[in-house]
Amino acid sequence: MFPEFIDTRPLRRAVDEGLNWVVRNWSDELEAAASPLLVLLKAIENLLVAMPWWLIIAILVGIAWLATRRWQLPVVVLASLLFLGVMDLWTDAMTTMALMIAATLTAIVVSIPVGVWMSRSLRVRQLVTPVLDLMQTLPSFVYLIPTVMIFGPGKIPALIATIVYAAPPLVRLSDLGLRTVDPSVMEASRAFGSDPTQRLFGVQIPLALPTILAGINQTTMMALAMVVIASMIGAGGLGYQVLQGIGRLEVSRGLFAGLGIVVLAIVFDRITQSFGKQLQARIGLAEGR
Amino acid sequence: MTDATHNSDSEYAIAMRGVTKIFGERPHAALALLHAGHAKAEVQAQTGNVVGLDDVSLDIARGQIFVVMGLSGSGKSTLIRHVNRLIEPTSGEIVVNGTDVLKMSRDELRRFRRTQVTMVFQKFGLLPHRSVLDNVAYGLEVRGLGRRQRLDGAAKWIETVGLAGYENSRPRQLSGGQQQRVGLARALAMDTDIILMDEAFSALDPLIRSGMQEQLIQLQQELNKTILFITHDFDEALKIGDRIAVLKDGAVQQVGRPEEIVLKPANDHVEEFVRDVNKARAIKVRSIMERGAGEGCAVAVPMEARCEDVLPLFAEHQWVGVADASGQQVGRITAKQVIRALARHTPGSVALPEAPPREPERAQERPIRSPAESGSITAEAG
Amino acid sequence: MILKSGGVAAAMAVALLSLTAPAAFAQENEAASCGTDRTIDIAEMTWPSAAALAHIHATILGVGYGCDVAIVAGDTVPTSTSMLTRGTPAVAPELWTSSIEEQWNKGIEAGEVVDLGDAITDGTVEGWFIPRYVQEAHPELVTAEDVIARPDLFADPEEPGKGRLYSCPPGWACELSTSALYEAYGMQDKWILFSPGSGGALDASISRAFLREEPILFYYWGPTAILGKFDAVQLDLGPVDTEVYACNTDPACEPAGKTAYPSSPAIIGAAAWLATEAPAVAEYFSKVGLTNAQISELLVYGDENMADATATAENFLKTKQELWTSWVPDAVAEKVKASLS
Repeated sequence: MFPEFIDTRPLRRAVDEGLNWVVRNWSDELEAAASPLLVLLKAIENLLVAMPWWLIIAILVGIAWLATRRWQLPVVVLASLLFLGVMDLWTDAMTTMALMIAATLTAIVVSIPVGVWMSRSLRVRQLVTPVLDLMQTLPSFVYLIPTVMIFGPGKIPALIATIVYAAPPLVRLSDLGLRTVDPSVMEASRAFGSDPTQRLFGVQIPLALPTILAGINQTTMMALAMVVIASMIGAGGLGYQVLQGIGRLEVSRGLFAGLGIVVLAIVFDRITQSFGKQLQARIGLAEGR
Repeated sequence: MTDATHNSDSEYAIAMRGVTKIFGERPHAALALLHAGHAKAEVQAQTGNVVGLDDVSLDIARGQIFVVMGLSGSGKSTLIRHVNRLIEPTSGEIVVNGTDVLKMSRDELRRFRRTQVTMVFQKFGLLPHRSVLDNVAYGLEVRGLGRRQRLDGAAKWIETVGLAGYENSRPRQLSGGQQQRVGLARALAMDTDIILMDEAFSALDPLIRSGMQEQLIQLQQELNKTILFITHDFDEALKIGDRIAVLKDGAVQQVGRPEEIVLKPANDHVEEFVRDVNKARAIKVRSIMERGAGEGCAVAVPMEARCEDVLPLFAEHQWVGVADASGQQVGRITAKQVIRALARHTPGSVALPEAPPREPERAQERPIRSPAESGSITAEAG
Repeated sequence: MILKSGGVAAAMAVALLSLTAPAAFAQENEAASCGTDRTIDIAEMTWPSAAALAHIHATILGVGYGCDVAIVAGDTVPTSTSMLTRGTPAVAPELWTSSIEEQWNKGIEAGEVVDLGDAITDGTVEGWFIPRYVQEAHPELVTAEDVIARPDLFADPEEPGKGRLYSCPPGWACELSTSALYEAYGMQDKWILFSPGSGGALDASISRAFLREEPILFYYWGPTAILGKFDAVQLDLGPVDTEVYACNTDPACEPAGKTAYPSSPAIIGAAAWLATEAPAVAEYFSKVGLTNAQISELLVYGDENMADATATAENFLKTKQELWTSWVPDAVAEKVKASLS
């Protein structure tokens, strides 16, 4: 047995009281800070729920066609979305999709600049990397319950939890993509007298775009992976259906809702991957040099 | 001896003084060792630092193609990158068009790279996500030119290098030779005085390479740029260079005109290159001819003619005349003189004949400098 | 001669004694032994009192009786269903049978499961609560109908204009009963029935509201740490109608009706094989009921000392020895006491 050096209870009590203090005094400000996120999420959700189902299907099938220019993916997307509708999972699927889209958009807005910053500065990279490790491995419930206490249950903590979990891959891949741009192209750009901003926007970002898109693909998938956990703090959607299935031992409900999540994952994974491949082909990185 | 004053430097396009580059953690410790006279390998063993360049001093006159030649690890790629300061030296001075590059601020350096010196790379360095036209226009875009202006400028140079019709292709759709022509057009579009070419043709097939070399020579006749050209191919150096510097282990072995290097290699290292070269092509007849109008000859060759041009004529004639541009005979040559020149040559025995006057449009040549002095070349004021 | 027959008699007496003595020993050992080699899995449900009880019983059975015990996760519906159909887990130390009454009774009749006794001896509390400070500010809020008429007071932050009623996580019996009441009172227009998704989230939501002194309408039950910590008043849901309640908690039964939550029995439910194969264990369980007050003490300890179920159980065993030693024979008690460090 490890010898007991300090009594951890006062330490833990201090942390708990600290949290209570934050809830009592800072909840309003923090809620206000998070309200733009809620507005975004609600706007997307209302839009998706209000739009007629055939229109949503048409748009997603259209995007799938644009991404691949072949008929296979649009058919898969069509079949998948019809499955959701037929199994009476449409509204839940739209709620989940709204959460996923809002989380991905926010993650993109936050992560790519951080990735850019990391690629330019070793110090920043050294500081940010452990934070990313923490975000990806700390069990969600550890920060979820405090988040519920601060923001209240429901969409905001669900969104925050999803972003915390889903953003790190995008940060890492943005950083990687920008740093591993062909050094001879970077050298040529420097030799012609470019400044760092010109290099960033003219050379690095366009050439790193396939890697960044891979990051977005990962973020989307991880956002969907959080769906069930999000429902455990009141987010609703397909995750809640799965939770009900587990809790009430209604295997069929859990199964079909789970398949619904898989369906959404397939649709968005294929679409984002296809855009990535298209971009790679245009840039010419797919063919070997 | 010419003194390295600022005034005389400004007559050179590029003047390098004592440039030393040491790669590693503590370059100055290694620098001290180097100055104390230790060899590159010793310095590396003692400090773990690699000597890239060892006290290189070169003068590059305007309007000439200056070739720096050497094997891998000789420091030639490092040297060329000092001129536009892609690499910072450990010590030394580099003066371009009268200004010390090493003292420039970041902004001045960027302006310098945008207006005075440009570069062509061995691996082309093209932007894969842009069309050929946009690639050629890239330098102008960095300079800040408007869209219409830079695309028009780029289009003109695309035609000049012979890629008309490929404006909208992507680099990956072009062959190696075509891609390098894009690189060349990009550099030419900058309209700078100085062009740095880092093994620009080394990644190309032999036939394509020949074609590019010829095109370069042709362009140079029209444009008269100062070109610093890096290569490991001696034949290439002889073909296109007005002056050649040979580097080994970061130190200059010999500097001179192609024929000087071929006829009088300064040490064993240079001799090794010379051994394999096609001397008949390398040596121009005017270097070894008998000067003076002399008796008229039945046949004559122009002053630019090489030995290989004159050899077939000896089957019929004993004497072949050498005529200048106006047709006047300025010298004559026999088979014996050619044979003597082409024969295996040992360093340090024959004095180089007086260098003939250069053609009017070329700049006055300065005396040859060579640290590997073997006492054989007598400096002649040009 | 007499000596010889006496010797024979003595020998026989010794033989007889030695025969009975081991039997006597055996009896006493049996009282302190498990009685079965089968693993006894004990359900640890997701609320604190049930979790602590699971660990208390696991320690006593494992260390004291030498049983092979295992703690498995559970909740009211999954655990009871599993017990009814597969005979596992072996025992659920705090099973609330109000919402599974029909299946449970059928199981008992069919001999699949047994009711070993009451886990909470003086009844439980279930209902809808609001904070006392809300009632003080609005003294007219006494019955459920009073509150239902005021959705504006308990506004849903995500759906402005509607009120929010905090219900239970899925899988809890109260989820069904509360949803049924939501329908029966016709709350769909003006109220959102909000499921927090997990027990932790429900507790966090309630704590948050009380910390910020905001109004909140929520389902809850006792004995619990939350009701012990926060001053909440129970709303009057009218009289109890057991038939209506039974229909409310049956997903297949329509329509929902109004009723208060009956005081649910919280029993110790076990698979039938436990009673037949390990009678000593079954007898142990028949004695282990605790009152509301005793359970509250457990929970308060856990809350104030940030103790998890294991630590709460250990503390109980250390500090409440007069209480639990009465459940077990001395030999078992000694063994358990010895193992507490």
